Amino acid sequence: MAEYLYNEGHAWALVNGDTAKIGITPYAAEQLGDIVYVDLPEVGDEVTVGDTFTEVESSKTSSEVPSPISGEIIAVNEELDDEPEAVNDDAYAAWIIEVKLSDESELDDLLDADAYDEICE
Amino acid sequence: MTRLIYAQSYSHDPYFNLSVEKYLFDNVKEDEIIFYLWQNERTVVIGRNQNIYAECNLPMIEQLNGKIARRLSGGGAVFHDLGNLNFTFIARDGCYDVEKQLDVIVKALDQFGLPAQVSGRNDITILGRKFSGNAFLKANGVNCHHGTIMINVDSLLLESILSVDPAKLESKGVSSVSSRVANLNEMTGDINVDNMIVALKDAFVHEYGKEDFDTTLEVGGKSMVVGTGQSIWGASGSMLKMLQALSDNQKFFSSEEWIYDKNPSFTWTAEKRFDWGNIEICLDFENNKVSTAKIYSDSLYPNFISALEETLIGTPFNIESLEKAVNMAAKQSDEDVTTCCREIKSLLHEKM
Repeated sequence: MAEYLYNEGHAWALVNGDTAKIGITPYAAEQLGDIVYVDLPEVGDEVTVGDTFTEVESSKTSSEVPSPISGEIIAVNEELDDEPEAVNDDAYAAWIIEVKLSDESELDDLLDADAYDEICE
Repeated sequence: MTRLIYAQSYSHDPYFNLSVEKYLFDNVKEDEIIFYLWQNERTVVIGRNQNIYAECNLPMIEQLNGKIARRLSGGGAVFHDLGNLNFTFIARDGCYDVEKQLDVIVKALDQFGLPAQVSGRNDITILGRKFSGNAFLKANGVNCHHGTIMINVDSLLLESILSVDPAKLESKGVSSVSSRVANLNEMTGDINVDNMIVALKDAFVHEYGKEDFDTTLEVGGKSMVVGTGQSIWGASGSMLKMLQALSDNQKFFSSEEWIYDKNPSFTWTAEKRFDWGNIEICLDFENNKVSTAKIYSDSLYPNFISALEETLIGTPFNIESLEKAVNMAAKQSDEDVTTCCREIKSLLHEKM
C-alpha cells in the first residue's frame, strides 16, 4: 500500500508507480493559517529535490516549500487557483503538483509518518 | 550568542534594494539577525501574488517616471517615495521573533514620544492611524519580516496611484485591503528619515541587549560595498561573488517575467455598441498573455471577428500588442473593416 513520505520542509509525497503527488502537510497548513493563494508551477517544468516547488501565501506569511523529490511536473491542481483554502480543509486531499520521478532512490531519503511527526513536536 | 548585523542601502532603485534583501536572505547564518534599512524612489511594490493591473494606476506611474516592483513576500500593494523608510529583519528559525522585531519599531517611536501600537500582525498604528504595513516570507528555515514606515510620503500621490477602477478586470490571487494611512510627521514635526534611522538602530541594539552592532554593511553608495561586512559578503565566498549575486538578483527583480508574467490569471472584458453592431470582448489571461479570447458580436464582419479571436491568443496585456492583433486580423479578413477596426482599437484604449 502506498504511504505518505515527508521531507523536513513539511511537504508530503504519495508515490504511485513512477509518479508522485506532492502537497504540504496538515501541520504546515495549520502553522500558516488561512491560505489565500497557492502559486502553481507550470506543467512541463522540472523540479529538483530541495528546491522550491510552490509558494503558499496565507493571511500571516508567504512560505516557499521545498520539493521532496526531483522530476518533471505532469499535472498541477488547478482547483487550488479558485479554492486555495482547500489546503486548510484537507491538506492530503489538496495535492499541489504531480511529478514523474526522475530518481526513485531519492525516496529513501524521505521520512515516514512517525519520523515526520517527531520533527513537528 | 546572537550576532547583530546592520545593513543600509544608499541606492534608491527598488530592484537593487530588493536584490540586496534577497542576498541577505540567501546568506544569513545560524546565529545572525540582520536589520536592513532602505528607501525607494517613487515605486509601487505589489505583493508576490497580486495582479499588477488590479492594484495600481500604471499609466500614472509611467507618466511620473515611477517604478513598479513585485516583492517576494505576500500581502498588498504599497507606495514608496523618499518620505518612506523600509526596514527588513532577516533571521533563521530560532533567532527570528516577530514580536521582538515589531517592538524595535515601537521603541524607536517612543524616542519621539509617539505611542505606536501593533495592530493585528501586519500593521503598526498610532492612535488608530496606520503608518507601517508589514509582510513576511519564509523559506528553508529562513525568515524575512519587512515593512514600510511612512514619515512624509506624498499621500495624495499614494492615494491616486493605488486606486484602480475595480470593474476593469477580474483577477485571481490576492487583492489589497485599503487602509487609511498617515505620515509620522503629521504627529510630530521633530521626525524625519535621518533621525528615524538613528532611532531605529539604537532601538534595535537595545532590544537585543547590546551596545552596538557586530557587523555593518553599506551598499549602493559611491563605493559599492563598505563596512565590516566580511561575515556577510564572505558568506558567498568573496566580494566578487556577492556582487555577482546582487546583479543576478537585480536582473530577476527587474525582469518582465517576474513583474508582469507572474500575474495570477485574470479576465478582462470590454463592451460597446457601435453603428456597425454590438461588440463584447472577453479575454482570459494566463502568465499575462491571452489564453482564450471570446468575442460576441452581431456585426456584419464575422470573418474578421473570428480571425481576431485567433490573433489575440498569446498577446500580452498591453495596448500596442493588442492593437497589433487587431491589425493582423483585419489583414486576414476579406471584409472592409477599416471603421470597425479603428473603433475596436479605441475601445481597447478606453477600457484598458
